[in-house]
Amino acid sequence: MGKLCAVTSCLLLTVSAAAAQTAQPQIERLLPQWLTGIIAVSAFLFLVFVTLLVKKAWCEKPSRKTAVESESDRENEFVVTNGNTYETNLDTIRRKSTVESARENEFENTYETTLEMTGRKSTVESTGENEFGNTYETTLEMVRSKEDPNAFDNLAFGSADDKVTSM
Amino acid sequence: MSHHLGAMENLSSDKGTINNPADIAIIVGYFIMVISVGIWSMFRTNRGTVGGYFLAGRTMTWWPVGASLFASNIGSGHFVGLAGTGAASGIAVGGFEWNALFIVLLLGWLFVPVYLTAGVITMPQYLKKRFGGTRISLYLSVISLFLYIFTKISVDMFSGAVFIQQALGWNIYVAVITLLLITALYTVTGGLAALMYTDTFQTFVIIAGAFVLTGFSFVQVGGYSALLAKYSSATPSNFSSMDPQRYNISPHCYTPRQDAFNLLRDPTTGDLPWPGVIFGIAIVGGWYWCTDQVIVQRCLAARSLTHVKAGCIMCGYLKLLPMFLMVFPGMISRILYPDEVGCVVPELCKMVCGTEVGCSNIAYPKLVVSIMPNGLRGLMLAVMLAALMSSLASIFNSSSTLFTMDIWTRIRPQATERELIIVGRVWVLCIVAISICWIPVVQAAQSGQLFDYIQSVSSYLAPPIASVFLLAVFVKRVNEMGAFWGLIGGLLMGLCRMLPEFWFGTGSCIFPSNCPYLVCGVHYLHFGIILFFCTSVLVLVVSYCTKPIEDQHLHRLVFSLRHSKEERKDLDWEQEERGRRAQREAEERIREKEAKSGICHLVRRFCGGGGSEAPEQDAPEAPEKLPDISEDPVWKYTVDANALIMMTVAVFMWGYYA
Repeated sequence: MGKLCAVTSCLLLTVSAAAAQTAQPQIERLLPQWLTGIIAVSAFLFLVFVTLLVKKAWCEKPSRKTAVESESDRENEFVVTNGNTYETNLDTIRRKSTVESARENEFENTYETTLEMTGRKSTVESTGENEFGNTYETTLEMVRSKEDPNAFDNLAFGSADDKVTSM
Repeated sequence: MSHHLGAMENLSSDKGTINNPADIAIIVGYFIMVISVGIWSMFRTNRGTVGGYFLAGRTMTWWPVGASLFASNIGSGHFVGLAGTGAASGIAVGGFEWNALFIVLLLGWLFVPVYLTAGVITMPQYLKKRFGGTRISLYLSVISLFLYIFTKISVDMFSGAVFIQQALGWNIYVAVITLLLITALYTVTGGLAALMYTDTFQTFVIIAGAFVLTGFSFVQVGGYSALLAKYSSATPSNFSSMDPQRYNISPHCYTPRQDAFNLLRDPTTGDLPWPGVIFGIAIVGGWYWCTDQVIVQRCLAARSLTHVKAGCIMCGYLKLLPMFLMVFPGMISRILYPDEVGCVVPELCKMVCGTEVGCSNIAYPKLVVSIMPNGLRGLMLAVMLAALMSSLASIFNSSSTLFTMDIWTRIRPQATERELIIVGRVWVLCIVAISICWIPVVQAAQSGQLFDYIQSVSSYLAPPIASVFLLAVFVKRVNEMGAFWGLIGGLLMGLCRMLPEFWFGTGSCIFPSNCPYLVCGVHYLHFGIILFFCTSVLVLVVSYCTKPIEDQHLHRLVFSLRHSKEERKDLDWEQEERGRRAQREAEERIREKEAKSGICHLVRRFCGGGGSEAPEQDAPEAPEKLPDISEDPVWKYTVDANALIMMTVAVFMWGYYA
C-alpha cells in the first residue's frame, strides 16, 4: 500500500513537472530584443535632435532681441535719422521682448541659458562691427528672418521692407 | 522526500564555512586597507573647519565623487534585496537601478548648480534660504532622519545580518556591533573626505567581487541562454500544503512569472506595472538622488560643477551594473537551489531561513556560501562588508550633518565651529546606538520582499518632498505657505496609505492581506505618482493664493536666477546674523580662558581641530567667496556629450529588456 502511494505520488510529480516545462516559458516577443533596443535608441536620438532644433530656433529669437537691446545706442542714433515708423517698431520689439522675458521666466530654463549664451555671442559679434551700414544690415536680417507668427513681428517685418525700398 | 532531506543536510553543513586561512587573510587585509585609506585621507584635508569636515573642503575630483555616489547608494540591502526580488519575480526590479541613470543626470545638470550657488551645506538649509521661516527646514530634517532609520539603516543592517548569519553563523549582535563600531570609527574621525576616499576603494572591491561571483554563477548554470531557458522551470519540489485546512497553495505562488524577463509589465496585473516603473520610480528617485542629503552632500564636495557632472556620469555607468551583478545571480540562485530560495510551503521556509513568508532573501548569500571557492568567499564577505560599511558611513555622516547644521544650531545658535564638529561626532555615536536597538524590530518585522518594503515606504513618504523641491527650484512663485501646506498635506495622504498597510500587514501569496481594496488596491508606485501630483497641485494652489517672494530674496536660489550676480537679501538673514554674532562672542570668550595642556592638545590634533586660528580665518572668508558655477566651455561640451552617450546606452538597455 505504501509502495503504491509512493508510486502514484512520484507519477503525479513527474506529470506536473512535465506540464510545467511544456508551459509557455516566456511572453512571446514580436521583435528580437536587439531590434527593440535599436528602435528605442533611434527614437531617443530623434527626440534629442528635435530638442536641439527647438533650442536653436528659440536661440534665434532671444539673440535678435538681446542684440537689438545691446546695440541700443547706435540704433537710437540711426533710428532718429531714419524716421518715425522704424523707430516705433524697434521700440515695440524691444518693449515686447522685455515683457516676454519677464513673463517667461518660470519653466523656461533652456530659454535663460540660451539667452545668456547668445547674448554673449551677439555682443561679441556687435563689437566687431564698426560701420553703421553693417549694424543696420544685421538687425534687418534678424528682423526679416524671424518666423514667429506674432502680429507685431509681421508688422515690423513689413515696415523694415518698406524702409529698404525707400533707401 | 529523500532529496529534501539531502538538501537539508547540505544546508546545515554550509553554515559557518568561512573559517579557513585564505578567507580570513582576505578579510583582515580588507579591513587594514580600509582603515589605512581612512587614515591617509585624514591627513589630506583640514577637518578643523565645518567646510572641511562636512564638505571635504570642496576639493574632490570627479572620480571620488562618482565612486562615492555609487558606494553610498549600493548597500548590502541592494545585494540581498535586488537578488531576492530578482529570484522571486524577475528582472523588473532592475528598473529601479536603471531609472537612476537618468535621475542622476537631472541631479548634476539641474539641481546641483542651484545648490552650489546657493552656498548651502544641507538641504533643509536650502529650503530655509529659499522660503524663509523655520518650520519647513525643521520638518525636512526630522523626516529625513526618520526615513534614514526606517528605510536605509535598518534595511542595510538587516541584510548584513542575514548575510553574516548565512555565511558565518555568528551571533547577529556581535557581528553587527563590531561592524558599526569600525564604521563609526572612520566616519567620526575622518569626516566626508575619509568617507569619499574609502568609498572609492569600497566601490572597487564591490564591483570586483560581484563580477567574480557573477562569473562563477553563470558558469554553474550554463551560460546566459541557459538562464533564460531554465528560470521558468525553477519550481520547488515541495509545493503541496502541509495543513490543507489552514491554507492551500495555488500554482502561481511558486511558479516563476511568465514576464520574468520583461522590464515593462502589464499595468494592471503586473507586480511592477510599467507606468509605475517609469514614472513612479523616477519620482522616488528624484527624492533620493536630487533632494536627499546623503547624495547631494557628495556633489557639493566637488571641486567644480564640471567635476560634479563627470562624477554623475560615472555613477550612471556604474548603475548599469547591478542588473547583471545582483539581479541575474539572484535568478541563477533560484535555478540552482529552488527548494531553498524558491521554497513556498511555510513550515519548510521557516526551517530554511527562519521566516514563513518566503526565503528569496537568502538568494545571494546562498550563492556566496555554495559556489565560491576558498579565499573568494572571504572576498565576497569583504564585498558585503564594503557595501554595508560604505552606505552606513555615508548615512551616519549625512545624518550628523543634518542634525548639527539644522537642529543643533537652532537649539544653540552661539555654537562655535569646534563645538559643531564635536556635536557632529557625538551624534554619529548616538545614531549607532539607535541602530543597534533597532535590530530586534527589523528581525521581528521580517518580510519576504525586502526591496519592496524599502520602495513602498519611500513611495508613501518621499513624493511630497520631491515635488516641493522640484517646484522650489523651478517655480519662483512658490512661497513658504504653499510649500509647508503641500508637505503637510502630502504627509497626511501618505500616512493614510502607509499606516493601514502596516496595520493589516503586507501578507504573502498564500495568506493574502485583508487590507481593504480602497486603501491597498492601488499599486504603491502608482500611489506615489498620484501623491506627487496632488502635492504639486496643493503647493501651487496655496502659493498662488498667497503673496509671492520677491526676486531680491531669490537670486541664486532658483534655476532661472542661478547665474545672477546681484546681492541677495537672505530671508533668514536676521537669524543668521544673530547666530554669527553669538558665535563670535562665544569664540572670543573661549580664547580668553584657553589653557592648553599637553593631553588636550594631542586629543585636539587627533580629532582634527586645527587650532584656534584656522576657524577665524575661514569665517570672514566664507561669506565673500561665492561658489562658482561657471564652466570651461571645452569641458562643458565634453561632459554634455558624455551624458548624451550614457543616456543612449541606458535607452538601449531599456529597449533591449523591455
